[in-house]
Amino acid sequence: MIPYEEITDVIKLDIDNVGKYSEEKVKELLRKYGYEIDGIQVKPSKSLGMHVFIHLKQPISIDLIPFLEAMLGSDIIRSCLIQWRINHNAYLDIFFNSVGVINSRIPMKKSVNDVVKFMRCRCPELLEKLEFELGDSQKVYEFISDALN
Amino acid sequence: MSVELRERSLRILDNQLGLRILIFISPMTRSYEIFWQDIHGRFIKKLDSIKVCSIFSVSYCESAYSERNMLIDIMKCRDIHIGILKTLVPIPSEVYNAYAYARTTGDYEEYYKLVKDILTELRGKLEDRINEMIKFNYAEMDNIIANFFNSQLLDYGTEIGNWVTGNPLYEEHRLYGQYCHNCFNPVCNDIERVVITEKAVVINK
Repeated sequence: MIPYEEITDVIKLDIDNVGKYSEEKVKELLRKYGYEIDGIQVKPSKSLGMHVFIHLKQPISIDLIPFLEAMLGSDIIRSCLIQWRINHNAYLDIFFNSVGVINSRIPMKKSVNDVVKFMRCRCPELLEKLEFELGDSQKVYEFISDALN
Repeated sequence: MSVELRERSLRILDNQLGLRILIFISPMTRSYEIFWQDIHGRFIKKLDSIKVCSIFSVSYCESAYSERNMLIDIMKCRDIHIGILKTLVPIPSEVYNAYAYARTTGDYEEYYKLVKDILTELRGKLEDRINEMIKFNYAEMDNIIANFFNSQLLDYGTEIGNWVTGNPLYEEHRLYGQYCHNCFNPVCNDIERVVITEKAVVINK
């Protein structure tokens, strides 16, 4: 289990579709969640996307990270894997490197059903949290669909 | 405060405190997971033990969530933490077996049925406790908590202790602050005394 003291002040987003990223939206959502931003860094990724480093003024619990990153538009599969790593108390600071785990089960086609199935299987915690935040499972489907398109 | 049973989770709503609490079973950790959110949508770090030091540190590190509100939440809702939930309704090993089976076959029906049975039982037991909890005198509690933070000379730990020991609901928790962090058994020998100061919580073992 992740101990209480496990906190971070950086949220890292892996954005594949640069056109869909909105810094304003990210700021607005974080404001809603009660977090103050210290700064945002953007770097291009190897896959023509970008990596966004959001520095927070106060550190937050590490167990919120997969959920927050997913809500902020990061690659949903990556969020799943981070959740999986948290569940297994694995080394976390690999956000933009090869994840190196359970690759054989990662849905390559990335249809909504594949992703939901993957989440049920590997990180049901993240699925529950998204459903809690978004309202119901239908909205989770819509959210994932939007994230994948 | 109401407890709603969903397909795979319980949701607790407390309009008075403006809290939303999600409880679900994590098959990975074979435990309950608790996810807290306040009325503004801000997340409160999961309270999966009664480590007061951790709870207080959350209030300092997690954005603008005020210590006072956090303390109210803890006092009102601290029965809802994983240690207590596990005591109310233990999670049988069948859950993990059913989850492993579901993962292998893709058929989650049996697993979700088992999860729902456990959560149904938990809801019943939580409702019983909540019925007791709502008998609280909010005004009195609010007053005590106000004193807790307003008085610079107050012996904070004693103040909380007095309030807790004076409340019959928490008779079983009269050793509040002396829980073993592993087994949650207040009479376990491996206890830690938590001393609450104004800005920090010190643990003397």
